[in-house]
Amino acid sequence: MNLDTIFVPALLVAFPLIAAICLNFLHGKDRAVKAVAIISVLVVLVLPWITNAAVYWFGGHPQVENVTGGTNIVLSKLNLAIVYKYAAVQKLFIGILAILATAAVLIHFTERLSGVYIAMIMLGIASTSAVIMADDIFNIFVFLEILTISQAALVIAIGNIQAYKTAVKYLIFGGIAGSSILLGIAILLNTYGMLNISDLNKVITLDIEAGIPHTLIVACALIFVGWLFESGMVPFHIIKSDVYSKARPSVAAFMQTQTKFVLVALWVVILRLFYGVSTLNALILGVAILSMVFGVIMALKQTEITRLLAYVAVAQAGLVGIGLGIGTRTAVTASIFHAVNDALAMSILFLSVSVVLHITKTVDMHKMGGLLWRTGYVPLLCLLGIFAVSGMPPFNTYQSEYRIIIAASTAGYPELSVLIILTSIATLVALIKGFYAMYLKEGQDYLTDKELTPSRYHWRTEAFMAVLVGMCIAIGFTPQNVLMYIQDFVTMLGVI
Amino acid sequence: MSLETLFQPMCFFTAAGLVVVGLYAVIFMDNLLKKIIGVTLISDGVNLVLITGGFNKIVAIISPELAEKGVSSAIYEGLKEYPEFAAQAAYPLPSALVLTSIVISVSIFAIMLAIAIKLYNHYNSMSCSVIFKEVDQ
Repeated sequence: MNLDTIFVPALLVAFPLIAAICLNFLHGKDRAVKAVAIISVLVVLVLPWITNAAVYWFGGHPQVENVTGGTNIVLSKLNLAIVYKYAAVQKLFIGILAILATAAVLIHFTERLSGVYIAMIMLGIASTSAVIMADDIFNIFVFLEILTISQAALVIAIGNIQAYKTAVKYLIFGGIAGSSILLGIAILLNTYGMLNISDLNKVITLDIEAGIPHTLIVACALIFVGWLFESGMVPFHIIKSDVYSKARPSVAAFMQTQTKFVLVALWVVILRLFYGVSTLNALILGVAILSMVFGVIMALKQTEITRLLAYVAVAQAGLVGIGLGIGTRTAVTASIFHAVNDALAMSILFLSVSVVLHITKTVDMHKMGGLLWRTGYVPLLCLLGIFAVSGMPPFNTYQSEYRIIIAASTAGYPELSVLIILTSIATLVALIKGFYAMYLKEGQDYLTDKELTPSRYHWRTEAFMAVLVGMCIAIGFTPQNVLMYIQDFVTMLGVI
Repeated sequence: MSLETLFQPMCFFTAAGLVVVGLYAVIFMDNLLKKIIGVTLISDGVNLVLITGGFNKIVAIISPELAEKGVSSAIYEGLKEYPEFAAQAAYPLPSALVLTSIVISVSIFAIMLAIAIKLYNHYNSMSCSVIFKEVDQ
């Protein structure tokens, strides 16, 4: 039996979708939900690593010969089916997502689990995996919409009125951004008659030799608006941070990872289709700088710990965008590397807040404190997470931020290097403020509460935090192990 | 000018109208339900653009004129037998895409309506200035 024909990339999307449907039907049956949930997360955790790198044609339809002279499509070969491309970088992205999804499920495992809630996490994994792997622009649109629905549903799951308000706002913005992407796709389809990104890349390359068509610029602008929303860049940074802060912190860790990976995946699509549009890089750089600066300024003035982390996550997404906007091969490599590193580091902080919120039942930093000696190793791991997010050695983000700074200077933006360093310092200040509020400040009334006895809840969260800290340090010491795959990926793009 | 030649421009014009009305509703109307309807109007407008593109024979995988002359490929061999169909048929891909898009729009619409009911039950109002007042403060 050939396992390569069983563990195909499509299974990375199909399995979580099937699991989501099953879990949805089991809603209300706690034991059954828990059993299916544990099996699902274990499979989801293992699948990315046992699936071999491959190009997968749905329905087994490989490229076909084009009708010679019968159409205005000039390519000799066309992809008729939806294509998924699965290589080392995609494996890394989906692997990390699976770890954080597992954390989001297992941390709350002793509580009564909602089937729909776990189903939405599975839907989140399936949709993000599809966006990361798909080479078909409409398929990406479909899964972006599913991603928006799953994220809104995970916020709704909190069940309070504030969460409902955030979810409805997110869906309204998501609906408009989705329509914007679809209109861009419609223009591309009407112009070129195809949806496959590799085919479109080839046909657009031939087309722009005679000058960039206006329709291409309009399509670029529309898909760019969709990218801004999905990445949580300015002007959508407020709604994105609102979503992170209203969701459970363990789920917010998963969500901010989704956002960063979708940021990179959609940028790859935009770059491959519209690299001929001269102002594209400047636009990306502009919104990325604004997102980074606004994010960190807003983080500094927050009084709620979840909002503070949410804005730091937005600022870090801006930093990823800066590397992509600079557009050189070194900058893009460093940027994708930072997306991976920051997803891991920020997750540590969200998980630590998960423990604090479990005890204090409040996100208000004025009403918490005194937890330094009460929550096991969580404060230590949280402090290490703060150092990691702030880009301190020997953590992984130091390696990526350093490379972005060098790339910015080399590309002729030394002032950008200074801005990134200042942002890192401001991020450290904001996070230390949060750390002080949670752990060092004088204790509150809840410290006398019986709930403070160590529970299995802390043990699981601590374990996931320790794994993430270990990964941050390991990548920090041996960055080349990850970088070499990202360098190959960037080279394979062929447009930088 | 025949009705057939006007059909596509009119469809695009209608789509533009739907998008503009939808955007107006989302931005300027206070009622949450009207905002939600605005989002669906935008989505409908975009779907109309997409499906109208299917009538654009230029981007068809095989042009009807050549199909009539018997030009075909192994994949579209069947079309050679039916030149009349090839001349009349629209590009089928947008129809399939719009179907998917409609399903997604309906899902989002349903969730937004469910949340709107919850918010109405809590605030006894559909006015965004009432519902989101606390957020503004």
